[in-house]
Order: sequence, then structure tokens, then C-alpha cells
Amino acid sequence: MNFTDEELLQELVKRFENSNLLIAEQKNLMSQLEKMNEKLLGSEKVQSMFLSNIRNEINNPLTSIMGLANELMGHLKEDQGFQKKAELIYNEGFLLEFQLANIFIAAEMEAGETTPHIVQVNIENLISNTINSYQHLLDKKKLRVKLESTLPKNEKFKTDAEKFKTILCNLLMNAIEFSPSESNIDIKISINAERILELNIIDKGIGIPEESIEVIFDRFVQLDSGSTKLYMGHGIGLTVVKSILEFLEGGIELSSKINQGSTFTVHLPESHTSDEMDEFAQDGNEFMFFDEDMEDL
Amino acid sequence: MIGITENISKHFLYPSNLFASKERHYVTTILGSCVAICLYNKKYKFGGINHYMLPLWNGEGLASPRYGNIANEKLYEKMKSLGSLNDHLVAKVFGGANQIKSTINIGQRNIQVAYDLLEEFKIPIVAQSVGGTIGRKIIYDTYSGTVKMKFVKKEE
Repeated sequence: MNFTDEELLQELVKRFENSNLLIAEQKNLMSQLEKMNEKLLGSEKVQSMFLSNIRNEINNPLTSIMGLANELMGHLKEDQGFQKKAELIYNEGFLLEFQLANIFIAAEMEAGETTPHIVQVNIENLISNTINSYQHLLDKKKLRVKLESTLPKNEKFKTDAEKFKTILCNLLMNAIEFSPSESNIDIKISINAERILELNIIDKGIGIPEESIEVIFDRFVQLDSGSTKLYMGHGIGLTVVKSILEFLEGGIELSSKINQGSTFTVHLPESHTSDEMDEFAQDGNEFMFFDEDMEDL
Repeated sequence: MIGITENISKHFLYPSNLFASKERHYVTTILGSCVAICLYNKKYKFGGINHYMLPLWNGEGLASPRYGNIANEKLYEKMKSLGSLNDHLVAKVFGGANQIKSTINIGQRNIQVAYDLLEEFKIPIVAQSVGGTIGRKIIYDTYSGTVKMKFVKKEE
């Protein structure tokens, strides 16, 4: 076939235009892919941040509700009816917050995303503050809490304050729930020479049969279950307590007698702050497990 | 290569935790009788690691990655959810020293749990340092898959 110069030129122009079109289309696709990739990366971040995100989504409004209900209770003193309602809002919010704290920490631990935040804690203060925040529940059942401490004044103990508080709240809530009205709850704390904290929470409640002591820390176990159960909660609390204590290298024991009450005993060794934890080195024994062995495969 | 750390994120992995990310991290952890599996995606160059203390969950407490059977399964699932297929994955296994006299071979049993899972999913073990009586500190570069290890005196 013979082409004139002009025909050849036209063909070339046509082909150039075609290839330009292709390139433009490729660029377009590429940018779409890049956008997609960005979105995917974003969603992965969102996924891994899910827990901490939803935690704030729930905690922030709940804190507002409780703060406002608390304020209402103060202002509505002249109107008994409304004050009662504000009180109800506060109390329900309090229980909701308590349960959510357990659920969040359980989810965090089951996902393997728990980090210890070790600080110097004034254990005695923390305990009495916690008791104070449960005062409305204690008043309702006319319970008295007696705190007995052998700790020197202003004694500081290195541990994860938030997790310790969760342990305490669960045990206290448990004691309140199962104590008969107008009884005493005793809390004892001491720290021994090896810097192990011992916490006893003693109630005069219904007690736990011996054969059930084993299962009480299992997930979602409440001894009296079913729709007729007398007590609230879904048995996640003690499971959470046990898991937190394991995480902090402590432990919990329970002794109990039917109709005489239960004693929960917590042992918690003092934690190290993160900068103390790194004291490892023993020089001259470094090993590298390189990537070559990976690439050979 | 590990050593000079410019702007690479560092992560300290606590016992009973696990970590996996598509972004490059240097993950440090210290092992006694605990075991850590480093899973590495050699195709897309990222990795994940766990650190478990006991071999099997007995239903007590939470089903957390404190236990080997749960930790290994969860790490594997996480690597898959980040886009790994089985034949992208290789493993390095560390730890399982028997430091404490009284415990009944916890280290050895922890190692066995790792082997069992990796065999089940047909993930090859390309490097390992397990057993013995001394603890280990490892730094895992999740981008290159390199693991730097030191024997350490400190017990867990």
C-alpha cells in the first residue's frame, strides 16, 4: 500500500491523538485509584480508632446529662416531685456510666489494646472519693461503709489509677447490690513490705455457695439468672475485675458463707513506671532476624 | 535496618496485647515465658505481632489475647482484615523461656500453641528463637520484617 505524505501525516496525528486519549484515561483512572486508596487508608484508621471514638461519642453526652441532672437536683429543692425526677435521671445515668465503663474496658482488653497508665496514686483518697460518689446508692439502702487503712498518711502507690478505680467500683457495686438494708460494708487496705497492696471488701450479704465460687469470675455468669432474678447486672463486672488484676499482675480471692456475707480480697503488686521497665540490656548478644530469610521464600 | 530511627513510629507492646498496622512501626516487646508471633506480609510489606502469657483460655476472665489460642487467632484475623492472604504471610516466633521453676513448662506449652496455629494455617516459620531459660527483648520492624533480638537478664 502506498500513502501520500499527507495521508501518512494524518494517520500519525490520529494515532497520537489516540494515545493521548489513552494516557488521559489512564491518568484519570490512576487518580481515582489514588482517591480510593486514600479512603481505604482512612477507613482502616477509623476501624482501629473505633473503640476510642465511640467511647467519646457516648461518654461526652452522658457526662453532660449527669452534670445537668446534678444541677437540677440542687435547684429543684422547692419542688419535691421534680427533684425526685432529676434524682432518677442522675441515678440511672450513674448506673449506665458504670456499665459502659465495664463494657469499654472489656472490649479494649479482648481486642488486646490495653495499655497501663502507671501513676503515683493516693490509694486512700481514691477509695474515699469513690465511696463518696456512691453515697446516693448507699443512702438508698441505708448502708454504712467503714474504711480501715493501715497506710501512712499521703502514702503513694504506683499503679494504673483508672483501672484500680474500675476494680474498686465493681467490688463496691457488688457489695451494695448484695447487702441487706441497714448493714455495714467494710473496706480494708494495707500495703505489705514487698509493696503488695491488699484490699478487702466485706459485705454481710446473701453469700455465695462454695461450689459457685469458681464460676463467679466467668464471663456473663450471675448465679441467680433468668427473668426472675432479683439482682441487676449481667455478671460482666467480676470478670472485668479479674482480667484487670491479671493484667496488673495481681489477683483476687473470694471467701463466702451463705447468709453471712462475702469477702473479696484483692492483691495488687506495685507497678513500675514505663521508664523503669526498660532496664534490660546485657550487651554483646544482639541477634538479627533479617528480611532476607523472608524474601528467599 | 533497625538502629537509626528517624521518623518511624515506635510501639511498646505490653503483654496480653496485640498490634498490627500497615504503617511502618518498630514494635518492642520483652518476653520471658511469654511467646510473640511476628506475622509478616511479604507481598505488601507490613506486619503484626502478639504477646501472650498462657497457652489456652479456660473460660475464666475475658477472652483476651493473654491466651495463646485467642491471641494467635486474633492476630491472624487482623492481618487478614488488613488485606493479607495466607500465602503472603510468614512468621517468626520468639520467647517461651522457662524462667520460673514452679510453673509447669509454661514456655514450652506457649511455643507449642504457636506451632499448632501456624501449621493449621500453613504459615511458614522463617526464623525463631524459643525456649531456653533467659528472657528476650525483640524489636520488630513491621515494614522490612526484620527482628532484632537481645537476650535479657530481667525476668518478667
